[in-house]
Amino acid sequence: MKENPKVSMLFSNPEGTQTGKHVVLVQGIATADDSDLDHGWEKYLSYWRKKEPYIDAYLAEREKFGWFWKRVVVQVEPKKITAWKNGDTSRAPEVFGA
Amino acid sequence: MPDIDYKRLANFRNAILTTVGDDGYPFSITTNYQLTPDRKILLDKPILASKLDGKRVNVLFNHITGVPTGGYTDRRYMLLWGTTHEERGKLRLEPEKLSEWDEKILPFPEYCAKVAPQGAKYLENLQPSVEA
Repeated sequence: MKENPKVSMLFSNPEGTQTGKHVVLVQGIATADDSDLDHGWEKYLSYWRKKEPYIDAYLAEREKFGWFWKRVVVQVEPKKITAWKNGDTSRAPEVFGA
Repeated sequence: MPDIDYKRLANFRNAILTTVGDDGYPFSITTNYQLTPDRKILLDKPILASKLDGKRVNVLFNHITGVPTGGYTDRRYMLLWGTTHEERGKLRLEPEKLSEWDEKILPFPEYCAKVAPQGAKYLENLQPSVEA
């Protein structure tokens, strides 16, 4: 990722992404911050908690899950967003950006 | 040709096709798929600016079920690498390589133990570029 920062993220599974039936592809430039694997991610914990409130139970037993709590923070600057309403990829998508 | 369990492959909601676009960015899109009796994997052709005939792709079939009290269950995926060929309005996937996991077949802790050497090899290969 540091050599080639061009990435994409597809939000398509309602179970994991909570995007409903819609399908959204975000393409952008990634920056990987691995300078502090143990604490660098903590400032984003509120976002994580919002999506998965039960994460606090794992956090309370942090010492039991050593590797789970080592995290590289990847930030993506969106360059182009492609969206398929209702997940119908047989139709032309809406495109935002480059 | 990888050893594909077509019975399990039939048990996914849809497929996610990924390739590298003309602009150098990875591009993914969901699409429906069908398996034919003679074991062809056919993908519905999405509307894209780039042609997918003869394109190197990977196709992910995956599933996950959320547990209301937290976490997930029934996690499984099959990831096929290969080439797509346009055929009668569909995309036929010619698979070359497969990686997969199904926690009902191999529980998560055992899966971690199994792939740990692969992870170690990856990190060893990565180390020179990190130190550069």
